[in-house]
Amino acid sequence: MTRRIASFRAMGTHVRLIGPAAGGARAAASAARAVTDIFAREDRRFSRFRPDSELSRVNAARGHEIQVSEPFAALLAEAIEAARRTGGLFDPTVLNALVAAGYDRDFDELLAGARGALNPPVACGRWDEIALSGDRVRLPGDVAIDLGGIAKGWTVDLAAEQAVAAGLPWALVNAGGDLRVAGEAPDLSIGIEDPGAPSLECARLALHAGALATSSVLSRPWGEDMHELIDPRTGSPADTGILQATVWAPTCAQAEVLAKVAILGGLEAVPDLPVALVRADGDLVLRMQTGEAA
Amino acid sequence: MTDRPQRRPRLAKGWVRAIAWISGGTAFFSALGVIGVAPKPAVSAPKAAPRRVIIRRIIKRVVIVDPAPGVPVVASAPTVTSSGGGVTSQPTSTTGGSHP
Repeated sequence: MTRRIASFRAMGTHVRLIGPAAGGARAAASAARAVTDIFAREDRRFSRFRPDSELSRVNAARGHEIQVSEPFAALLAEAIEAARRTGGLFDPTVLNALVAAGYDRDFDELLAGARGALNPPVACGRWDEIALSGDRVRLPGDVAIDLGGIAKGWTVDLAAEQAVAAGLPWALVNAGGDLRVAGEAPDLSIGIEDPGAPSLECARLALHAGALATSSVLSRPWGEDMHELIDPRTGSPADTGILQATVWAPTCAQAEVLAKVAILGGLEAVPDLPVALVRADGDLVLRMQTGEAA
Repeated sequence: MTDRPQRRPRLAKGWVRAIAWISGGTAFFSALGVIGVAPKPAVSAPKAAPRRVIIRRIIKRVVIVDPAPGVPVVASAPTVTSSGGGVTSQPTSTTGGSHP
């Protein structure tokens, strides 16, 4: 039996902490507090919509070397490494392209009115020009970074681990579909939403460890073919014939990266990992083991 | 000794109550009367057609390729998917593309 221990909004999405029904009340309260605090802290660090965030400070200092916190440097290093491993399909330097495509404000404001692209596509692929040495960062003068998705995954990982450290036997943290299980969890039943009808499931998984993340080009469009998943090869919102990708990985930060990469590059771009893809032609492609219903 | 001015006779409490009830009731019913005699629109507004909720599922076919070794196991997936959900009970959690 499971129960929802905490539910709140952070990073522009709903966050839920789920744990065992039989966990102690003190541990649950402590875990809820820890998870809430972690999301608030990491949002202050990584939000591009807060002018006082560390990310905004780094982007404002482009062209100059700037000192950053240890967690910021760690996540930026992970993002650069992910870009290198995926041949640039994951790219932390897509911010200018994202803004040009119209995602220039917080999502609640964006959805208030459908709109088109603001400017022509902007070239990406400048991740290998970011100079990171210890706690010093220097962005090229005309490059800005966005760590939105990977930062959310990283925060989910921190929160799930901290919830277990607070005394829960296991914990599941889900931030808008990016989720991570930590501790000794039983098989948990996880529904993958149908991209055309999110109130319905297109598959259900049993999960007791690791993380799942889903990227979709249909979930938050702000205009005709306008969505937040930029293809670094074109500088425009992706149009690859894949509508949604769900990927399992040991950590949520990795799963977040790989879900984007799976939309851009298909199954071949995420070899050997459990994946569920929804294609525009209506195929649900499952590369996962099948078993008993959860 | 001076003459004290004569007091005006006061109405009994019951009379005051009765007058208050009568004037309040008259005000209330006269408002209803105004509404009743107000001109009606010549044509009544058309009844709104009942709204239909159309859920368009995208998935038409499930393709299972070589299963990757890893933690999640597909517990259930729809076999034919033009309509209707493949599963009924509530999952512990769901994953979809970046919920707002």
